[in-house]
Amino acid sequence: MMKANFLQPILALALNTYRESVRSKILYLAIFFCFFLIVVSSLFAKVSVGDAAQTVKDFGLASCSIFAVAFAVISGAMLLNKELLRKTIYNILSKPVMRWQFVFGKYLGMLLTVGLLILLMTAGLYLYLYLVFAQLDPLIWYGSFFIFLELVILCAVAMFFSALVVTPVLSGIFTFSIFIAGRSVSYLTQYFSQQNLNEPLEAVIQMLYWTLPRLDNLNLINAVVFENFEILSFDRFFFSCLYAISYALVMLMLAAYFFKKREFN
Amino acid sequence: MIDTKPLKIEYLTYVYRSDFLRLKRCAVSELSLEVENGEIFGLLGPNGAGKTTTIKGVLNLIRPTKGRIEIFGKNSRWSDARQKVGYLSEQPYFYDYLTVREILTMYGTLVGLSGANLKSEVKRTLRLVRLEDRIDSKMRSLSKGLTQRVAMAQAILNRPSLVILDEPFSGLDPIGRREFRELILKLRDDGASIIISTHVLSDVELLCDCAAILVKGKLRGIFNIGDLPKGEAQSYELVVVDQVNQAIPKEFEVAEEQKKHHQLLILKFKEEESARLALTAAINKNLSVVSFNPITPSFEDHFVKIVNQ
Repeated sequence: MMKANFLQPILALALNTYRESVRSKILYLAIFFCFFLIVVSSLFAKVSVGDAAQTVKDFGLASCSIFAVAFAVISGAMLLNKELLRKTIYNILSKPVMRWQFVFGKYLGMLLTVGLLILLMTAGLYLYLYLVFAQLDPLIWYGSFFIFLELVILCAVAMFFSALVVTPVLSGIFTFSIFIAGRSVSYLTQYFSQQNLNEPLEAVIQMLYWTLPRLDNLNLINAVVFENFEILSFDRFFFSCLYAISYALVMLMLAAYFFKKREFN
Repeated sequence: MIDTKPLKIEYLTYVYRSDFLRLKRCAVSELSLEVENGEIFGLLGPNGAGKTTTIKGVLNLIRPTKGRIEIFGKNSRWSDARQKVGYLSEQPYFYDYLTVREILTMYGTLVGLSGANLKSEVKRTLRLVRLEDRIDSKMRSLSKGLTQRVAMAQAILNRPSLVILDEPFSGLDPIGRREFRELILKLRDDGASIIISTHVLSDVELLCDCAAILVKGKLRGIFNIGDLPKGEAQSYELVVVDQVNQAIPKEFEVAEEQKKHHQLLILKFKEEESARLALTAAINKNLSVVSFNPITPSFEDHFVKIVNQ
């Protein structure tokens, strides 16, 4: 009898998760609203001071980020819960599939979907800029790649909470809170450094500083819009990729650990 | 020497906490049983007996509080142990956005099939469950009975040596039930061991070599179906055609139970002698006798007796 190599079940589960998302309406709704916002941004551009194309780029990339994050938070929170509610997980785990393979497969499928979502939204923005402003700006792709890196982390965080928390609403709230906190780490640390905190609170702030994902460092929308090439360096690119992958791996390992402990009564 | 019994359960105990008050409840207690090679093993018991919990323990879906489970000599907690296992769950659910082909391809990939081998196994299995013509149907378009066939197909896709079927006949029409029974026997003839958990005792009687009866998480016994004592007749049944103008013999009056069904008069006697006297009287009065049978305990009677012990 053939024995599956360790990648085979992960890829099969990833493909299934991807299919589920692609065949659901949420993905297309996200794409539709993103395009809608891009078009609406043109109206803002007309009444705002400065370069209209820059306003559209700013709006477009921000919309791309918002809808990708919303999709990741919602679908990430539902991912494991749906499997439990529909009891589809029984058939999967009765096969020679390890729990960590299930977690990694689901994550990979989610990432594939989010990748497709960002790709389509960026392509729409790129085309729109070309048609309306006659601009072909490859930097937009660079910006959207960094949005994807943020999502590499956020999807792993969503998996972690999905494995840890039973209710999808709570899992979604936690994931979204981590996103907000991750985007504000530098502001928060700056704010708290100016306060006179007692030692235990200082230790908590320090712990949060080191454990929260530094999503603020991955948010390059402004740098892309204003073509700040100091920020858009190769070093930044390389270390950002390394950071996102490492952070996601740690979150996934924790998710797999908690998922292994779960029982399916 | 390595024990290669398809399934060996030793002192399985599973205690869980209830949802609301977090009270401790014992779903299975000190259960030990073994399934032999090529055997069809029934897992019986009333609702809440612990049948499904036992199966979930075997499949590592829950962690037993105590005890050990081995599948072909391997600890059931290892994913490797499930390589040769096929499982049909009670009320199976599938991803409704997939087609039958996609579902089976996914499950086939999970058990290590790939390429041309996977394609041919999917086709073979669909032929076995008579679903070839629905290969490209979406799961959401299938009836309960057809979904059950898909569930059986995914369970036997990897030609398992141990097949665990939890309520396999649920949702099937009479033809489907017969086909499933034939399929189960074929799997056994091909060398697989089969565990069937079901409430339908007639299916157990027809299929199983032996059966374990669980009551409130405890094993009441393991019985060879063929060895169950037929026992002495508990009563006697005389069935005659009910003729309107014919006088009823007075011997019929001692019958413990009399009922009319369509044009038949069914009489039940406790004593053999009074039953024979009634039979003779019926013949003497030229009544049409349809049947005269001693009633021996059925498998269902045995089951009820064991459960109520």
